[in-house]
Amino acid sequence: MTAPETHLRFTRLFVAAQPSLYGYLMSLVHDRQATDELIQELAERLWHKFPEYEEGRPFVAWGIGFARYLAMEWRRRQRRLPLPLDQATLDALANVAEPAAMDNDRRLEALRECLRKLTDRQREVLRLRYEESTPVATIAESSHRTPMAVYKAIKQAHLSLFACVTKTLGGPAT
Amino acid sequence: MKIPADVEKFDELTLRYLHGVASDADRAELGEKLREDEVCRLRFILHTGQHAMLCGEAQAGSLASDKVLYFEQLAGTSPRRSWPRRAWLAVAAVAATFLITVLLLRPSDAMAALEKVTQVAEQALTRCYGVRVLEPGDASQVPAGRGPYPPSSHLEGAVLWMKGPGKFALKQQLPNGETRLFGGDQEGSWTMRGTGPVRVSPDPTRFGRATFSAGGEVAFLDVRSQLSQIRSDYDLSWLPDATDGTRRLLASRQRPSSGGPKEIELWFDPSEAVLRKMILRQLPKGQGGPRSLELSLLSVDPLPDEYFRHEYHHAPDRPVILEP
Repeated sequence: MTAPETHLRFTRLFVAAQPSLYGYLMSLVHDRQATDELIQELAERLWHKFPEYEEGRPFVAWGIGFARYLAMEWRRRQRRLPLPLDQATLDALANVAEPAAMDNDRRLEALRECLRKLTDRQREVLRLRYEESTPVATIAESSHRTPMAVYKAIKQAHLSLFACVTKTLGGPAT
Repeated sequence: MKIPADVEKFDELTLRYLHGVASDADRAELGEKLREDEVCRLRFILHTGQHAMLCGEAQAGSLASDKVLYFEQLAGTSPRRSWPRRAWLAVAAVAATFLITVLLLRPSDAMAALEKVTQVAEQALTRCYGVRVLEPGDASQVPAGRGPYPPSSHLEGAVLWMKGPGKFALKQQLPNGETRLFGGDQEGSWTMRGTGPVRVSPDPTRFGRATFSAGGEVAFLDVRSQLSQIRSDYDLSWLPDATDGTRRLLASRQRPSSGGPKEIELWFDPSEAVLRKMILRQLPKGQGGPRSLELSLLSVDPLPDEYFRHEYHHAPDRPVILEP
């Protein structure tokens, strides 16, 4: 494979796998900006390791190994964590997150369908929260509401989506 | 999928945590449930997964008010991301209004002077500013999870290039010896660190947002927006001219609740109204970024428009990852 072909091949694989890897990292670090940083670091790591990638192996599964290492390293580097977890719990979470990441595409497709069913108010509160990663307190201040009122609106929208996705994928009522 | 015994309570704890409103007791209880219960762990992973998807979808515009465009875009029937372009058109309209206002006003008072500075900032001239941190932030205030090198923590010595409305590039040196470069224009934004792949987004505010979020870390990236904010939220007064004749305007925030730095000092030459220095004092706390910093004009040497595109800064064979 020529260098441009390798480059193109990597880019295609990474772009396709990125939502799954992003979700996997988020499930271990729980923070958007940290996940943004780590996904970039992961891309760099995977690019350098790409010569070792075996054609035909699921790229997400290959990437998850590196993602797990980066997420654990990141947690070790933090001076303080909002949710300290012991290593056994973290490992258990990472083990659960792996098959979830492999199933990410299906859930994402369902989520996109479910987003259509949100009310305008639900969509707006999610937009305010997620588009710029705006803290709940900031939204509350600018909208003259209490943080808990804003949080409850976000929670309601999140749980509506969660129930809709679960139902779409044939799961039990939540 | 199995459901935890007290599912409502567990969902509440998880979502409070993900949205930053959990108490210490909430977090302790959540940690305990994750330690003890495999069913809780799976549900937690699904919630964080949805949280991640919503980050991506919001960034891609799925929650924008013109959502129809987004869904049409998913179906491949509509041009990509027309809403940012609309936003830029709106900004251009505001800029045009400014221009008319400036033509009608004599630049004899502080507001007119500010508007002249704004007008000049709109012109397609290249300006290069050096960034100095005058008062660092409290490192302990950096929220957990800002990545190994939060952009707002490495602004000392950074160099910012701007050209006309919206074109920018910022280079910062990271403690590990790598350079991070990010930039953008009306068409999108990009970032690259070290020798890693280049990440490109159609969202002009996607990269750089962590450093310059309107929420208040350091909102100086878009000088035009900053100046517009000064116009609406700040009281203006003249300071004594600098010894070289540079005029100095002081903008003092009217209300603490309006956000942004408490004071902004603008230095500009009276003939060309090019902003030579901008000092932002008492930036909002809470993100760990600097409390006060200064931008000083280094150069007005022209740069091509291509300089604000990522291709200018890397070899053609470097991987480029396009975000949706």
